[in-house]
This record gives sequence, structure tokens and C-alpha cells, in this order.
Amino acid sequence: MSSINDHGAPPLLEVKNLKKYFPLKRGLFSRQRRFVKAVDDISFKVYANQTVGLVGESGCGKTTAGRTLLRLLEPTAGEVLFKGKKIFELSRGEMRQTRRDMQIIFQDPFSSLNPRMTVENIIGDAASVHGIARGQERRILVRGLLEKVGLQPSYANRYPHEFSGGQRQRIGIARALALNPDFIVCDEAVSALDVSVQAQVLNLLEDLQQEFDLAFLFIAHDLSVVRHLSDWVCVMYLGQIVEATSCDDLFDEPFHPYTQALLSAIPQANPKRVRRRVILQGDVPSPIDPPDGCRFHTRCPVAFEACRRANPVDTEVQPGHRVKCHIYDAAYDPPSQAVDHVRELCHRLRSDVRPDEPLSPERVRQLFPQPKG
Amino acid sequence: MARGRLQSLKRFARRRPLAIVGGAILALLVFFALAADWLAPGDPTLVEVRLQLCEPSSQHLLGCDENGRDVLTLIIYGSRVALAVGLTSVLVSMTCGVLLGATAGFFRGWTDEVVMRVADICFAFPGILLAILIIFLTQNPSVMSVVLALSATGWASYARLVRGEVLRERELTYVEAARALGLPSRRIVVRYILPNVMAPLSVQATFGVAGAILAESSLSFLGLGPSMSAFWGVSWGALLDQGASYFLLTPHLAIAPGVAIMLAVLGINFVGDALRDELDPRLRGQIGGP
Repeated sequence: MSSINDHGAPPLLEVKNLKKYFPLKRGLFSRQRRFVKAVDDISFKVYANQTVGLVGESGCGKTTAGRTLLRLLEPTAGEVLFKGKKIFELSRGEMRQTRRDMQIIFQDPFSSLNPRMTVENIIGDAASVHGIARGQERRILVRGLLEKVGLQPSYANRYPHEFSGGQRQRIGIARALALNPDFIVCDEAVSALDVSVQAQVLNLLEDLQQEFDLAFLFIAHDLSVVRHLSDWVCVMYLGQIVEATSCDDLFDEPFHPYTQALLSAIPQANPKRVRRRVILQGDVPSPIDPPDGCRFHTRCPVAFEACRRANPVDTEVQPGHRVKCHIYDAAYDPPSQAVDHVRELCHRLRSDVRPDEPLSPERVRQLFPQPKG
Repeated sequence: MARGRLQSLKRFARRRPLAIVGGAILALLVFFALAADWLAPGDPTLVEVRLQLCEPSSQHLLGCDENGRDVLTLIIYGSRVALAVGLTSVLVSMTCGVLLGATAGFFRGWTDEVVMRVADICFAFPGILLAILIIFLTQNPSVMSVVLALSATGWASYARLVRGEVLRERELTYVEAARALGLPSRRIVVRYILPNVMAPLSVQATFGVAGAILAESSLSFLGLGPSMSAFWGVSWGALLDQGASYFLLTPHLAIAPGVAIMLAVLGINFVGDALRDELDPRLRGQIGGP
């Protein structure tokens, strides 16, 4: 739970108990109204110039969360404070003004650019609507942005179909930067790109963050990408944040059984490294009728009786490290076997999941012992 | 440059010969309507009793009607009514349909419900009946009242088409991006959504012109078309009605306007087919249309 004192400034963005339910079409004769609980009571903060990673399997509600907090979707409940303003209470005009400061970069670089517009218009349209730059000024702005994202200024007159996926994503980034925002939601911004291009775009985002003092909410399912970029990470499962802590802490000491399973699934470059995978059984349950009690209990390797019954609350296991799990809540009297299992896994993963540091000569010798003699 | 264009026209003609035929008919129709005063061999209002129901001859290529008016003249003038009603009613119903459909599709909610339910009523209501009512109310059947009568229900199909397209478009990521950029709704609809609706819309509008010509002919056949005047001449539908009474005696009186209606509708539909195939490759080779 990062609080004001570790940063000295109030958060740029604060999400409080945000919920987004999508109503299902009622059948002709069914009276009960059912909902897809895509985002169910999540809270977190993003500080200026900081990156928060939001990770989880597909379908866990991370994209919905990103869209709702930008008010691209109307929330069901909860509050989002952006620069102290309650986003959901703004009028249409105020909201449009506020959008200058909060932007989004989309996952699919192909559908996110209007095929009938030139790059100049795609990037510059908002600038002219908001009265930031017109005519010659706009031309200069757009060309400057293209250069900033590593494209040639002369590309301004081309159409999106003339570019590759990576280049299109750069155009999408330039569009998001055009209004000089403080906060950008990167919604799986690199997932659609191949690995080498992914690295380039990630580096670009890092550079831009420094240059423009940006805060990112980085939505991804790829933990290694999140690790590369984030200061703080929230792990989502079925619409809820099950673990939230600083990036280093999460990879050092993953407490929640779900996080442990996720981390153990990160592919390792080193084939000799012996490790145990936590293989989860079954699929993610439907968010229409999420399981009672802990939402993860149907797949949790250490679930015990209380997990089926009671909804876990956030427990601060270590300062600033929140976990939603009964194992860490003494009030539920978790079986010691389960506690030991999770603890052991936590330690094991710490040594397993190391960043892929360049291998030192000693380590190489250790890993590939030469036959003596 | 000119040679290149000619080449591509030739290639197009080889690929879609029917489109060229349709285009030629349409061009002829427009030419007739604009130049009727010079082209027509006679005066559409000139009544010569001695020529009543006369057979086609070198002076009167298509003969004369019951009032002794030259049928060719009447048909050339009739293209004015056909074209005017066809174009204006499509313009009016398309404008209304696009405005209502785009609003309904973009804003959803109760606007959508109201607009689409009214459109459903328009679809369910027999168009001719409503047209009769409107023409009865306006008392003086003119080109304007016929346009009004046809547009009163005609807008619904455009509204439905545009709403569907807008519903699809508004979920696209680049439209969402435009919203995230804080662009006003009107700009999003006009600059991001509608340009992508233009293709199916122009196809539907082309078929709409043919449909309106046919509908106007039906109304005129029932005696509800625009009344005769020196500028408009007589509607083809009215000529057909008149000719039908003498069908056994002088069949050419009914056949001539009938063929005119058929050719006009056919030509425009050929153009519409080609337009649809060119603009929407997914429909290529399919038969039928709206």
C-alpha cells in the first residue's frame, strides 16, 4: 500500500472500489437480471512519472478496468480521482478537457488507426480540435512527434496501410502524445508485436516516459514485459486485484498462490535451471457467476474450507504488499500444511525467477561443468 | 494521362459490360430530362383531335394518345418527372435516414429505441396507403407531394442501414481512440464513422432511385401522380394507365411508357449492381439487392 509518505506527493490517479458490470440480455421469461462482473471492486494508485503494471490472464477484466478508469466505459460503481478531480462526476465538456491529460495506446495496431485518414490527420486531429495547434503549427507538431517516436517526418502524408505493425504502434503512440498528457493507459500495447519489435517499442515508451514525465498504467499478460517497465504491479484475477506490491517485491516474494502460478509459468532462457511449475487445473470460471468465497479457490492448489465460504480481504503481509488470500489471514486459521507449501514455493520462486542477467563466466562453468581431465 | 484513363475505362467495360449499358441508359435519361424542350418533336400540351389514337408513323414515331398528343414527346418529357421524383425523394429520405440512423446508432438508449420503432412502423405500413393519404391531404398532387409521400416511409431503410453500420463502426478501436482524444461526438460521427458508411449508402441510394421511379409510376397509374403541366409533361405511369384502356386497340400506347419505365429502372439497377460490386468486394457475385 504505497501511501503519500513514500512519494511525497498525492497520486496522479487514484482508483477507489471501481466496479464495472455488464448487464446480460434478459431472456424472455427470466426475471432475474444477470451481470458479467468484469471489474469487481478494484483500488490502486498511480503516481506521476511512475508505471503501474496490471497483469492477469485474458478475460480477467484488466482491459475493462483500463477503459473504465478513462471513462470510455461508464462505471457501475466506484470512484476515480485524476489530479484530484472525480472523473465520473465531470460534465461532458469537462470530461473532454480532462482527456487531454489522460490517453490510451491500444493493443491492435491495425484496427486502432482510421484507414481513411493520413498519419498527419490521425495524429493532429485532436490538436486542432483542442485548439493546441492549427495549420502550419500543426504540421510542425505532427512531424516533431513522428521524429520523437522514431519515424520519418515525411511519413505524415501516408496512410496507415503503408506501415508495418511496429510502425503503426509508433503512430498510435504519437497520437497519444499529441495532447501532451500526464497519464497513458498502455492496453497490451506491445502484445501484438513480435519480440524484437516489442523490445524497441518498450524502450521507446521508457524514453518517452523520461522525456515527457509520463505515468503509465501498463496492462499486459506478459509478466516479463511488466517486470521490465513497472514500478508497481497489481495482479488481477476474475475482476479483482489479488496481489499488489512494488515490482521488485512481487518477483522476489510472490505471496498469492495465483501470482506464484503465474510467475512459475514465465519461460526461462536457461534450460538447465531446475524448477517446479505450478500447473493450474481447469479454466478461469465465468465472471457471470463468480465462485463464492475466494474467486480463486476452484483452481487454488492450497484452498481450504474457509476459501469456499468467505471472501478474502486485503491483508498487508509486508509493508506495502497487499494480498487477498486467507493463508495470510490468521483469523481463518489456515492449515499449517498449506501455509508451509505456499511459503516454500515463495522461496523457491525467488531463486528460480531471476531476471535474465548476463551469465557470468563462473555461472556458465557452474551450469555447464566441464568434464575433468 | 488521357490515354491511360481511356485504357482503364476499356478494361472496366470489358469487366462490367452491364454497367456501361446501365450508365448509357442513365445518361440518356438525364439528357432527355434536361433537353426535352429541344429534343421532343412536338409540344406535350398540344391536343390534336384528328390524331386521336393514331398509329406510329414517320411524323409520330410512337403514334398518338387518346387526346392526339405525340407519345414520343410525352415520353421524353416524362423522364423529367421520373428523374426529379427519383433523385429528390432519395435525397430527402437519405438525408433524414442518415441523420436519424446515425444519431440512433451512436447515442443508443431511448433515441435508438424511438427512431427504430418508428422505422419498424414505416416498414410495416403499406407505403402506397400512406402515400394515398398524404396526397389526399395535400389536395393538389404535385411532384413535391409525391416526393413527400415516398420519403415518408423511404427514410426508414436508410436509417436502418446507417444505424447498423454506425453500431459496428463505433466499436472499432480507432473510434474509441477518437473518443479518448476528447473529440466531440459530432466530429467523430462525421469524420470517423460516416465516411465508412458511404459505400453501402451510395449503393442503396442508387437502387433507391430506381425504386422511387417505380413507386411514382405506380402512384401515377392509380391517378395519384403529379398532375400534368407544360414543364413536367405527363408521368410515365399516367401514360401507362391511359394506354391500358386502349390496350386491345392500340397496344403501343401502353407498351411505350412501360418500356420506358422498365429501361430506366433496369439501367439504374445495373449501375447499382456494378457500384456494389466495386465498393463492396464481399458481395461480389451475389444476386439480388435491397
